[in-house]
Amino acid sequence: MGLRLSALLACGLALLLFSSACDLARPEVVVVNELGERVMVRHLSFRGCAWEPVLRHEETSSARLCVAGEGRVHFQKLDLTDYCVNQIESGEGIEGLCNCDGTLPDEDEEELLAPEPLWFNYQTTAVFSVEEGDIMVIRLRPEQIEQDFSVPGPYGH
Amino acid sequence: MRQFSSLIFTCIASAVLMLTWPAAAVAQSEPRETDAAGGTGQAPNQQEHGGTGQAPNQQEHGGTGQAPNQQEHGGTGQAPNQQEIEELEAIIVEDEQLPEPLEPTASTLSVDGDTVKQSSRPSLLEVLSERASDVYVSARGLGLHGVASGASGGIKVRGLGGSPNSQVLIVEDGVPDVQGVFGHPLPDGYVPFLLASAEVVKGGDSVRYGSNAMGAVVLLKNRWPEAGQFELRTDSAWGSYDTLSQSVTLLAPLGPVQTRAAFSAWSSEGERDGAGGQRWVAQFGVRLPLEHWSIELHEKLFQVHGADPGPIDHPHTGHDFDVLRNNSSLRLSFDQARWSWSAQPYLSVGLHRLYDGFHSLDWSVGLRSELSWQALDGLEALFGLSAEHTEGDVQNVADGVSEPTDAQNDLGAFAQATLLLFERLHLMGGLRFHHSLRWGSYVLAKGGIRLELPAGFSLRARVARNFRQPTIRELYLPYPVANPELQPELALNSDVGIGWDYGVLHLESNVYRSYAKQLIKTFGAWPTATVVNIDEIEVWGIEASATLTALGPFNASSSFAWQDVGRFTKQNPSLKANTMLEAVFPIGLDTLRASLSFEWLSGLFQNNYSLDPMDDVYVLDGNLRYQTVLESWGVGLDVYLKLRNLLNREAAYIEGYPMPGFNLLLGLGLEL
Repeated sequence: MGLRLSALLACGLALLLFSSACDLARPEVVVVNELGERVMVRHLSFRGCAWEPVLRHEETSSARLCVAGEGRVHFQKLDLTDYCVNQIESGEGIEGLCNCDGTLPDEDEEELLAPEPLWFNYQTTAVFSVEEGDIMVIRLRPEQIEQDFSVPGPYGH
Repeated sequence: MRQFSSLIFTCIASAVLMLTWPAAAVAQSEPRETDAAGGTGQAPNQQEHGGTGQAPNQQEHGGTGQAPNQQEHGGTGQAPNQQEIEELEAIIVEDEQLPEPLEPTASTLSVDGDTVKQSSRPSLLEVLSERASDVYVSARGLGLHGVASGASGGIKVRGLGGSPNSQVLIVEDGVPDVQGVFGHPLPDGYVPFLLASAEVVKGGDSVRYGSNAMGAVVLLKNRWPEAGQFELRTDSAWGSYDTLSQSVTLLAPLGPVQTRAAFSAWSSEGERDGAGGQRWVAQFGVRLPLEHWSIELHEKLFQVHGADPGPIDHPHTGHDFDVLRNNSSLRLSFDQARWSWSAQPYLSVGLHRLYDGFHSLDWSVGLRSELSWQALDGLEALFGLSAEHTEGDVQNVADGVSEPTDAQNDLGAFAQATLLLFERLHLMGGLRFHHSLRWGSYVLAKGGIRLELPAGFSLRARVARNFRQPTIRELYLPYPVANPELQPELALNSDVGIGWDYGVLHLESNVYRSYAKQLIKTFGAWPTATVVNIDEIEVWGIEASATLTALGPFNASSSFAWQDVGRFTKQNPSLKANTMLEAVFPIGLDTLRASLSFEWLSGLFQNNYSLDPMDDVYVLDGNLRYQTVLESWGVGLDVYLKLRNLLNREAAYIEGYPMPGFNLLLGLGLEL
């Protein structure tokens, strides 16, 4: 009995290790913002992973363990150039703060931008497939994105 | 991953082989001894009733019910000898913990508490779904169902269940469990650590239990210590995605007072972002049995914290919820030879908070009283009264806006009688007069017949008129929409069944019809959604089951249900099949149990009118359990491994919320 119990406990230990491996076997995904120097993205999501922080140009998200399968990357996009132009054209902005020549405003001036910019929903046109154990780097490029009209609305309680 | 899968299967196969081959040899050479000493001849842990099967309690009434499983009465691990079995059977007959008498004409499913605990399914409702093909329960993760948007745990029995489960009433220790404002039970509030039995009365029973018992009633009964019994159990488990579970259960007599207590906690990181959560449940009970009188106090406090992770293609974080609820009741009962009476006041209070500012405090206060009278041999009558007051405060703390609501007040009086003629013919009839201060009076009724035929055959039929009142949420809360003009739902459920018992084989089949009028349905999407009563729906179905018990060391059961739900297809599958295989191998005084459970689900849609069809669901779960006794310490040891989604298939009960891939839970139980 003792031998069998020991064998069982040994198997249990192996299974514990295996269980940990289950987590590690999930595909690891990283997203890189390559949409342009003045384009920022936020609320990225892909196959059950959600990234909250804002990514500036060429910034990389943290690596997260997602669910195997296929899907698109969904995100919200803010094009600072468009925003500045719109601000100036509509007369709502404060001229001089938005540098539409391609440079970013000084950090201490950013908070003076008004009104609050709108972030629009976008998704990748390509469908990415990830398998267990994969490590995938997904690059967001301007020619590979489209507006996302599939965002679920509020459901209620 | 595949390499890991190979590793685990190799490991399990080796363990099973190593542990079972001597036992198998013993089983072949000494089959009789094995059967007696090893408990392999026990009845299955689950009985599905409707044809010939009877509820376990019917042993007390001369029925043919089979003995509950060994585990419940034999403690952890140690296989009883023949003398112990006889003693245990004597206890079973006298056991007051067995369920309340049900009318014998109903189609029911009975599952004992240990079966629920030992199942690889992570929640009580999912275990019930595993055991009956005409019971469907949605799931989305490792065990937490959640509330509000993205929640699972919706239950459908023979096509009726409500949204999410308002048409199936759960009654725990005699008290209807309805969250005041929301009007439905919270699936995460049920843990099996004190559970003695769970029974599903298919077809509902609003005559006895009032509103919400429309599609079915789930009766939960918790354990009390038997005379002189002291039991202390702990259960610790760890599994995939950092899932942790811990429980402590105590049954102890304190002089003339019987006490029970349990505390269980569960937490998990979840299989994806936002899918984790925590839950704890504390239960406490005191009973003072006197010569004819008995006083009981039941108390249950629990908290659930989790989040809606969102659809997998649009996941989100921070959509969390927090629910804190307390259920209390006091039961006074009196028993004499032919009379028994009970009165049970109860209180349920709940605090619900959601990420978007939703905040509610609800409470229900009620009283149930029943008088049972055995007028003649074979004739039993039951009379009852019930009253309930439900109220709640709801506000959005983000903007400080309160939603005006009105309280609900209801009274009910009912009577039912069961008559047994010629030891073969059961007749049942019942009537309820229900009065709501808002909707006026309703008369509900039920009737049934059951005939025991020679050669193990039996026939039965039952019809029940049930109802459900609109909830405060449906009437007043604009989440997503409310309609104060809603009227109660009405149902007329009927079924006929045939059963056959032949030795170790039990066959059963039922044809059912669920018909409902004025069903409350929500159409459209926020902010233009509407909620209205619809005219009528009708669901026809057939279910069949076969059970093989004690076939050597094996038990097997299989059930299959098909139903035509018409256009009422939302989360209402047309086909469901469940199969279970169990093997029990005695190894000296130890026991090894292994089981497999398979579920096939087809015809599942995320919306009505056959919109948003979903892929068939195939799920295979496994369970491995080794029970022994450390004699020098006097401790029962129970090592178990629950393997879920063994085939690592992609499966989803709810669109956008796929179930986790292969995952496991390894646990250790200790019993003093």
